[in-house]
Amino acid sequence: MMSICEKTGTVLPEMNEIFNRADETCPVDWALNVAASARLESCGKGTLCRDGINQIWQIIRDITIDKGKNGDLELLKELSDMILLAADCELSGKTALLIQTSLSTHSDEWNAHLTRKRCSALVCAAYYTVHVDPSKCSGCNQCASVCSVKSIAGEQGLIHVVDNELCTRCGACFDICPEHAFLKAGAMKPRCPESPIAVGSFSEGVRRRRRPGGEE
Amino acid sequence: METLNMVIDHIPVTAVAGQTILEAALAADIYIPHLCSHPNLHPQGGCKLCVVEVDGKDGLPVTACNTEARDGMTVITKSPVIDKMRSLSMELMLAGHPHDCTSCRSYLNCELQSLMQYLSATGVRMREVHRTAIGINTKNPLIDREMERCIQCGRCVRVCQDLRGVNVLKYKKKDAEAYIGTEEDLPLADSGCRFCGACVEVCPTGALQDREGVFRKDLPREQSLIPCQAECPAHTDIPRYVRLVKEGRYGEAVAVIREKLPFPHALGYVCTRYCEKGCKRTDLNEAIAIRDLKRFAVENDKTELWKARSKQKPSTGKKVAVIGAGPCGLTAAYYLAKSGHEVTVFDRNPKAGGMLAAGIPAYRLPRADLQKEVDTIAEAGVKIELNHPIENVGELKQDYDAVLVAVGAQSGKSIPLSGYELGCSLTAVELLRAAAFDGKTSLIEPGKIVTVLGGGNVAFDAARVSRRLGASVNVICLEAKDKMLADREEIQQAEEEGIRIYAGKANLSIEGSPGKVEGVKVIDVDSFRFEEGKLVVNTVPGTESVIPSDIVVFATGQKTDLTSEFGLELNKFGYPVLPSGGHSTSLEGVFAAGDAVTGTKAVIDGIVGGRAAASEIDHYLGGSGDISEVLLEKENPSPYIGTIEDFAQKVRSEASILGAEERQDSFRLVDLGISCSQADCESERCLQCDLRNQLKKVRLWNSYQYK
Repeated sequence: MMSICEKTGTVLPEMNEIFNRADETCPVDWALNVAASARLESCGKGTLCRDGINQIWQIIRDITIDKGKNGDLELLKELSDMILLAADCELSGKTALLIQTSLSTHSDEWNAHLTRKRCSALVCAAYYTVHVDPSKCSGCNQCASVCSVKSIAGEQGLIHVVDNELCTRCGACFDICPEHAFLKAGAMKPRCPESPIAVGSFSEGVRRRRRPGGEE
Repeated sequence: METLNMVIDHIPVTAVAGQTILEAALAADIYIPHLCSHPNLHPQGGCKLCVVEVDGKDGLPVTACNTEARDGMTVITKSPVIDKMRSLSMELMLAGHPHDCTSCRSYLNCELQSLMQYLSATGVRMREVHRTAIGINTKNPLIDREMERCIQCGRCVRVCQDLRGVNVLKYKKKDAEAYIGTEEDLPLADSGCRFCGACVEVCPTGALQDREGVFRKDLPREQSLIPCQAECPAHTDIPRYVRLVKEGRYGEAVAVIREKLPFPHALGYVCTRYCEKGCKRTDLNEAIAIRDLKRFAVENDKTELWKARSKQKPSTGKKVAVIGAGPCGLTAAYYLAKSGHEVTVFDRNPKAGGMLAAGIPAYRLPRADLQKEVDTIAEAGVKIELNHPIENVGELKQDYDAVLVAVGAQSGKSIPLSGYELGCSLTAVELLRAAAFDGKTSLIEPGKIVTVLGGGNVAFDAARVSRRLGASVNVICLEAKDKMLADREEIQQAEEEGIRIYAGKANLSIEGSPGKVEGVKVIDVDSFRFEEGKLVVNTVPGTESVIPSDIVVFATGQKTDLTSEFGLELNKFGYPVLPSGGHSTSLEGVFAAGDAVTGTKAVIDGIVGGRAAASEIDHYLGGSGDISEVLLEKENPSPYIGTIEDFAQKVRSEASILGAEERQDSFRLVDLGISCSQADCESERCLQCDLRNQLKKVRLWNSYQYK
């Protein structure tokens, strides 16, 4: 059997990254990046490589943005199994193997994304909220001015508050805040004021409120 | 040929060494689904539909299209893993493919659709794929690219690169999206495409299509794919002889032409060129100058190679008389003589050639060249009796076993016009015949004003002959200038010679007194149409004028001049009744063909009629009726056409034309033909449509015994 393609897997990460996962990396997001690199690199001649990897990428992307469907994990497994079986080049074979291994090694995390809408590393944008730590905010207002969707309420001297319905998780506020007051939250939401109040006036434990996007 | 034995799905199969598993299976009538594979192309193994299991290695499928068959091999074409891989691959292809098959021009003629049925696959499990590169390069001549239907099997890429050597189509990427395109996404015409159509031919979906209208739909596909040959009434193998001209093999080119007709040189001058109207290159820029190439080949044929294989059957002892030495009669006589019959052609004119001699002026067809082709026919054993009118066919029939009436349409029609009775009128046929045989007419003299009524080629022949006889000439026709029936070159050259054209005018009357015409009264035409065969003209009131004229020439059609005295049953239009639908007339053993039965048509139509009649007469006389000849061994042209710089932009070579000053007062040849370098360039412009028929058709699954 002649090979139609000699693409190597050098653009892809190594297998050991799956097993030695750092806490701050999300396996689903990692797999998304693997698929994204592979689909950029694929030469396009083989259906399973070209369309299969693209399909894997689309499915994983949907999973990371809360558009996953029942059966997605089984479909991902079927796709990666078949791509691996039919692989004409190192690129498609390695991609399939990495996805396949991630699915089995981190099945909890894949399931958490798909069924419980959780990303334990707080990487996948759909599954975390952004908050301002009221004890750190100095009311400098730089975050509000940098936010492109105006999701941060507040002015000079007030503790700022993020509207997570508007927030796009772009991360600009994290980068600009001199006090490092911005936090990501999964299921557990920090206690924050409902609307901006004067710096220093928020006492912890006064009120518990249900936050948008949280379940409390 | 080394054979090897293998077993496919428990069926013993004998394969040929070197065959792939897929080839061996398909040859044994065992279907293995396949899509990117094509019998003329190197396998790519990309679609994975042809996966099979070999030698009991369960779960380790290989692609049958690029795995060589081995002796003793055991192949399984269906298993859970194989089925799963095929389905998945199909689902992936369909995820990016439009769902609605019925709106596609390939509907029910689509390999993808057939495979969808075979595999019962749909794309519904998959995420729908939205492609952006499909909008690239969709506006091209001749080829429609509906790339949303492309499943990137790469057949077009391989046929363009490997088989044709053109290398225009490539796998490309736009960000992460793969698509089939050209270098820098250039339009096909700017990318070096040779518009051979091979990509369209091998495309298994509706992604690549021939532009609607390029090919006729009323013909078998292999014929319609070569429009020039399909349009030629004689079906001359045009791409073949154009290719031979390109190779400088003029003798071979003439042999190809002569397989279908005995007047290559005359046609090289005057053929009406149905072929060029069909030429596919017209939709790219301009048709190939096929007629000029034909003439060039004949004039540069130093070998007369066709004579070597020309077939002469032994004498049959049968005698055939042909009435009329025109293209039809002489063609029939030629093939009948070659079929072994003793043939005599009778013609009332002093020269042989029919309208080629009596109608078409010498400045368009040199008489010496015509005579040479007539001589060749005589050399085949045809006796030509000139100045020999036949008044009654029945009398002639007594001395012959068969008679062919090929008398043409010799009688000019004149339209009813008041003032006709004044005299000083003649038909174009009369004018041309007198000029051809006598060098003059009784009416036309230098200084006279001749007005020709009619806008076809015969009208221009009459006008330009009158000009050469020293007259000042007008042409009046109903059609607007751009709708005139004559060839564009005729109109242009006539104008250059000082002939005035009054287009879009209706004739009202001939003005003058008996024996002295003063002019033709005309009125502007707003529109005209034919209703139940009758002309209905809408004129513009108040636009009447008189075009001063001394002589009026009617170039308004011709008909046969047969009468009942001739001895044949005629229909109400004066044409012989052909009761059988073939060429036999009401008289046993008497046949009729050419303009005498069809009315005025082109030279090539007459030749085709002559061939058909010859075949029928030979059959009638106890022969096989087979007049076909193979004058040149079939060559197998290379499918590898390579690249030619600026191929799509190459313009048509125009023949040299004698200057108006030099030609308008004499019968010197006007069209001087094309040069050797022009012939080379012109033949290179050919799209070689015939190469497409070398590509094999893919058999669909339902035609296989085991599926």
